[in-house]
Amino acid sequence: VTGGVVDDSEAADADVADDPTAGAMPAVRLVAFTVAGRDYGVPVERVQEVVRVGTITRVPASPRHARGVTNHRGRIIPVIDVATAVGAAAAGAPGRDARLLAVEVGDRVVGLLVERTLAVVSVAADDPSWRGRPLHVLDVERVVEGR
Amino acid sequence: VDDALYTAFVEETAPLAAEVESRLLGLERAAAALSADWRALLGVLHSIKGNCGMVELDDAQALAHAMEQQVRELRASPLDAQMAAVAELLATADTLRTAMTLRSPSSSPSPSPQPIPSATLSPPPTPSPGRDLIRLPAERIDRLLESTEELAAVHERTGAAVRALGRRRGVADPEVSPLLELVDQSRRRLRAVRTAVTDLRLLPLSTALARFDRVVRDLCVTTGKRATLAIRGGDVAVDKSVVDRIGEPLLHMVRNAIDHGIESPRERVRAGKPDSGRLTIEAETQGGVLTVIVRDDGRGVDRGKLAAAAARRGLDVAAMGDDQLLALVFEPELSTAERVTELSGRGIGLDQARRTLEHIGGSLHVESTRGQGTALRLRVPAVIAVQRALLLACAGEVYALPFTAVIEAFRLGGPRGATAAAVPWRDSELALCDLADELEVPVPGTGDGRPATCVIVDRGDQPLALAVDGLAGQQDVVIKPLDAVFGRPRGVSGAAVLPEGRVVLVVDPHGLGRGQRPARAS
Repeated sequence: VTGGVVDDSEAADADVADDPTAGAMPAVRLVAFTVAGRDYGVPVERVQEVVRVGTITRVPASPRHARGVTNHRGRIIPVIDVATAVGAAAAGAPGRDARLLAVEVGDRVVGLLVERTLAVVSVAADDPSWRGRPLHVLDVERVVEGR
Repeated sequence: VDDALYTAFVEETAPLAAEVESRLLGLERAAAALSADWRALLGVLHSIKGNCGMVELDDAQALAHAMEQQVRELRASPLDAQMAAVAELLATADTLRTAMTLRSPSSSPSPSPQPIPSATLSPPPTPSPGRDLIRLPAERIDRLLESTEELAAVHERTGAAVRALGRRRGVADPEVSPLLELVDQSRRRLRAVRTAVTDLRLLPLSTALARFDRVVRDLCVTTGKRATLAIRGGDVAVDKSVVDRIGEPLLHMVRNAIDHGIESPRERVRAGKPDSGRLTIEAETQGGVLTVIVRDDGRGVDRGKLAAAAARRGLDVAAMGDDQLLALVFEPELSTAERVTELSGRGIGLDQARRTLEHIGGSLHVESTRGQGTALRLRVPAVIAVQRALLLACAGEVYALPFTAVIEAFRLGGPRGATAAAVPWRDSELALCDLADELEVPVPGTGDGRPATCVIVDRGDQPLALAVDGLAGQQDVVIKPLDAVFGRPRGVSGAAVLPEGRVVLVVDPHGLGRGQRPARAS
């Protein structure tokens, strides 16, 4: 993991917030984000970086959830549309708040396209929630496979 | 034996084993051995024996010892006995090589460390006096290359920002002009670094060709044929990845030449040829393209048989030009060999060779004259890591097409009489394939006025007329494979980052226009 979670272009709008209810229970740290009206999280140690969405180059004949490829620090990574992958309607063009989470999957790096990021949160491992809303821990492998 | 010692052993001893083989082959070819030849061979065997002892490879050590003994006794034997023994020694050398890899399980620290007599340590290979050499893993050079490319991308962005500033304030502005000068300097330095890094990966092609002496000899033994191999241009420098990847295709080409090209000695004499066939491998690089021609003076391709086999498969032979007909030798189902030998089921090997080459942006051609021989011509970019590409504008996107595949480009509707449907090409017409259709990408807007440009693309056999909106310049690009999530989209071989940071797809010409290719229509 290089440098933890850093927003590329502006002061991090993902503030670090601990959930006071987490207490002494085993906790996990997640990068929380919103997709299609639900909140999700990805373990912080898997996220290399959170960046603004750059130009996405479409690839012909690709699965629906694979939006294309983009340049991430000189490396070409696939852009996975989390909304499509979790079964929500395909989102249109990425909005102003959209971000790309550069996530490690084995020896690959993939970009998870999300509607907006919320915060880096410390939550209870067995029942993650944040600000009173359930936080779904994203199964990154499944999302990438499009299952 | 600990890992470091074993690694040192392999690095030192593997070249010695290769030397044993090449010396034996040399003896066999010359059909004579001077006592100096035997002495040199003995020296190498002795070093191998000592090295094997150091790493406790007892079997290998015993084999090397036995070979040494045999060679010692042979020196006094009559010539024909010597030559007969060479074949035997070659076989033992193979066993020795295998035995050298059978490392006993790591047992460090050794219970009773035995002092190694320094006499058994062979000196490390010294290529030429006064030269310092470093061995290092290829990945470290690749990482350097990647970082250089990233640096180049940053440089491009810096340059663009400074030039924009120059446009706003004027290039003579006292704050801007030194910046412009610095950008220019860094561009020149960067180019030098790029060249130096790329050169680090260059190896002489002979590293891939060295084994063919042995391959040809063994194939001749199996087939009962006779052939000599001459290699020209083995010193051309090509990228390591090229050396690594063309070995297998070349092997198929050489096998094909011996198995299907060179005739049996009897047949050759009947045809008025010397009983031993001549096989040549010629290599050269020009304009960043490596060409290797494997040429034999054998029977040549029988076009009649080929056409008959094609007709049986329902192909329209009459409509094919000679190039297309000959290209059928690459079709795996169209073997014209009367029997499939253990060596090569004709088309299968060549088809595979062609696929491998196409995957790395190369091609395979065949030329043949009945009764006089066949030449297989392999072409690949000499540097795969960095390729010059023509940038194509199409349906609002930019695509990169490797220069090795470009024959020519021209505007449609010009004096050549090309229309949006067909292009005159040599003595026929080529149907235009629209890149947007081929890649199934939607054309934004009304699509009026497009396509406006045609690129004639080399696909190895029949050229393809590719229609695009326009050309967008040329660029050196590093081609990267696409992530597994995309599968293997037809017509796309990978992606590359342009200097300004944009990612473009790299077009694979071999995946385009397949609908209209008669040989694949079956």
